[in-house]
Amino acid sequence: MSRRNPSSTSSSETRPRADVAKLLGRVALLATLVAGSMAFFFWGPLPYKHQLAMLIDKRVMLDATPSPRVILVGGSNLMFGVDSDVLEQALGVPVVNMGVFGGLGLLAPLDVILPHVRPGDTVVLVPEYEMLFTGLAPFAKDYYRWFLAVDPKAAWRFYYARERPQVLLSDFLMLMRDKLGALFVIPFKGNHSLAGNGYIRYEQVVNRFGDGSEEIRPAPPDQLAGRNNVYREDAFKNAIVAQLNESTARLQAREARVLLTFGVFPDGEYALNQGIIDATAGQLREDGTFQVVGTPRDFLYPYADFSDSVNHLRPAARTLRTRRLAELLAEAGVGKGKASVTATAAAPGAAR
Amino acid sequence: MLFNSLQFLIFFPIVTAGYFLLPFHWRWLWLLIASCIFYMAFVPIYILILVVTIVVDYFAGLLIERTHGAERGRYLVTSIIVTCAVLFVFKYYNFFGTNVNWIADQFNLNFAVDPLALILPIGLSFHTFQSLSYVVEVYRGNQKAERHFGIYSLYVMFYPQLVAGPIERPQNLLHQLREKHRFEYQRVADGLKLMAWGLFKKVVIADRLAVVVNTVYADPTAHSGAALLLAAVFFAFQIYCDFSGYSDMAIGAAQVMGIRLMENFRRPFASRTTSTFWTRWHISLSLWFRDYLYIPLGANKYGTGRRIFNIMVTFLLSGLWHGANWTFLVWGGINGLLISLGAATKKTRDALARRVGLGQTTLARRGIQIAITFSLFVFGLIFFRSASMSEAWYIVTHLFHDIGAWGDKHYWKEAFSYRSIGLDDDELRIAFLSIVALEAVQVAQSRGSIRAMLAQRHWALRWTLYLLLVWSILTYGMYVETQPFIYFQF
Repeated sequence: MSRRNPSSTSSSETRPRADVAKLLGRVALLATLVAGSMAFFFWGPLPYKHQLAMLIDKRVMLDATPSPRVILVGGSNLMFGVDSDVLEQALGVPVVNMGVFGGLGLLAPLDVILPHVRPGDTVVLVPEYEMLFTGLAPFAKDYYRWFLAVDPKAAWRFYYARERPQVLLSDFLMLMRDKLGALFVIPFKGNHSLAGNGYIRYEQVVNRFGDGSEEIRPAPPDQLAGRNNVYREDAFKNAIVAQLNESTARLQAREARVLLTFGVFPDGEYALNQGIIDATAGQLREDGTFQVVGTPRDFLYPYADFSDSVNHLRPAARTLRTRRLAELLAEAGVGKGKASVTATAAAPGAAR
Repeated sequence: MLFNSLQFLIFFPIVTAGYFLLPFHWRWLWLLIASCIFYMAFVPIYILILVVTIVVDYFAGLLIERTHGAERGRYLVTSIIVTCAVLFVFKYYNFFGTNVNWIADQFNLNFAVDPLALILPIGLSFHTFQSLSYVVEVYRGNQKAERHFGIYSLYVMFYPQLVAGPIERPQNLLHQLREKHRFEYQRVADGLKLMAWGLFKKVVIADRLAVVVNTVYADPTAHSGAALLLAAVFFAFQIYCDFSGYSDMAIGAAQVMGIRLMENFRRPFASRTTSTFWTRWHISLSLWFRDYLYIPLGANKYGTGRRIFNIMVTFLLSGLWHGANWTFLVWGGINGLLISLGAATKKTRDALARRVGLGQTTLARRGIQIAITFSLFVFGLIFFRSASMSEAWYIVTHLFHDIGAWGDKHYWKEAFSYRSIGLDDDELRIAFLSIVALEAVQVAQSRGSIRAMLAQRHWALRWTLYLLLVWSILTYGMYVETQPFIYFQF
């Protein structure tokens, strides 16, 4: 007959506690591993697959460029509509083309560059008409995550905390998914860069100034001309000027100069919207705390000069646009005064 | 409350922790309250339907046990009628009315059944069948009537399997609800792993495939044959991952609390015949129909003709169990027919296989059999998924109508484009890769328990796999286009 072991009761009672501790320990370890590996993925030198990640590359480029600089801020009308090399040579100061995609709006890209603006820099705002008439915030909430990728602190402060804290985690996980997607691409496509944290094909599609270097297949000739896009007469809101003034104040607080000029537009579409476009330009000039350079008519081109959208110019027209821009910026006192501008186009089609 | 929701992520640890922290004699109450909260997260008022079913079957069980002879039968029949009446009113009344109206219309009768504006209570067919199972088992003497009203209520309402099964038997579940379950690391960890695997199947595979399936089935006429075919095959994987994912989570959640629920899926896509398939797919329902319908009908005891009749009745009712629509009835009929044909042609098929050199159970023969069984299942599911018979018929007749274009790569590019199927190339790649991962796990499962296999491996490999699983769930899970579990509607 065996005696009852006095320790057996206490051991059987303590076992569940030990088991709970073991489970919690393992769960904590797994959580730490997941969080750690995600942090490595997020901040580590692994590229993204989505091209909007080029915001990260462009910010690196901005940091690496010595001041005083000309910083172009806008959408793809800059990425595929400016020859920054020509502009830099004309103005005699480094040019950084921060334009990526109009859908990101103007305010968010400004928030991205703001901490990197230095005294003496000139920030040239080039909003597309779509932005002026529909709003300066990103066109889709999905785009916010790319600001999270570029600058988590600023993204939290400006967007997530204010508007959608509940999607911070899912947006972060979407970024992780994109990075994993890039890893899948690497074995299949040779042209990739593993060095940076930005867009996997950045070096293949963007030059050292931030201009798009890939050739864009033009849209069929009638496609753009057939848009006949007419903006409502009341599309431009005073709030847009107020937002631009607020951003200007923040940039000026960093001792930067702020200018605004107009995006490219087809002359045919300008004719359909002349009233609202000119009125908008007038209001920006009158109420803006930034300096407006040029007029909308300075950047009008025939449909044939555009590639796949009314914001993207073909190479020859890009040069013309750049020269006109350089001329206007030089007139405004930007650069070292050695602008040698040959183009004199001011009226639609006159540059041809 | 969905298992793949943030609510459940909070609910589950609280309920589990409370369950183990509370004194044993309060646990049933804790679980019952939790189950009520879980169910009321859908449509709170419908808990009253459950109350009616529970009260009726609880007392029916007691009365059946206390009485003898014909009286017992009367209580059983009353209980079945009341329980089924609830099911009929909420699920089948409008279907019945529509068909009666159609018939009246054909004979120019001035008669119409007005439809009822009722929402189908979630999981109604599941808990109805579980309740029926109880009264029948008490009647048969296989189960003692439960005296404790709370424990009986918990038997019907136990939250992991309340809305989509597995449909439990009282002999398996009731006694477990009375037992004291201790916190055991290995059991809890295994339960959590099973839940994670189920979640992976749901949010990574099923919900991703659902995008294609929903897009194509929303307007089949706008899609090419290849897209229809892709949607049909994807739906097979979607419904499997959706339902088996749910079952894994249910079984895992119960296992964490020390309660063993029955297996509901056993690698059905590896089945070599349709009849085997139905012993591996939604096992708890198949067994329910076998035990409470097919066998009482006489099973295969009275010759081939009667056997086929019994099979057809069982499968037609199984189809109707899924939904009040002719499409479900046809789906059930197709499966019944396939099993009947399978049994009737077995000798001929074996002889044919021997003649073409596939007499032995070779890998090739197994592969062909599995492919045929899977294809037949996919075919039947077209009716299951379609909104109407005409839609199903359109899909069936257009799957291969443009087969002449299959050689053209642009055809495939267009058929599988984002515009056509709603998933871009990357997402489609993830979908295919996740199906491959699923199949790899299934193949490994055929060699034994994955958990046992993993336990023998180096810790580094195990933890890498756990990490990968969590990463996949987090990054590749579909959280924006979250789909409710398909079987919740039944």
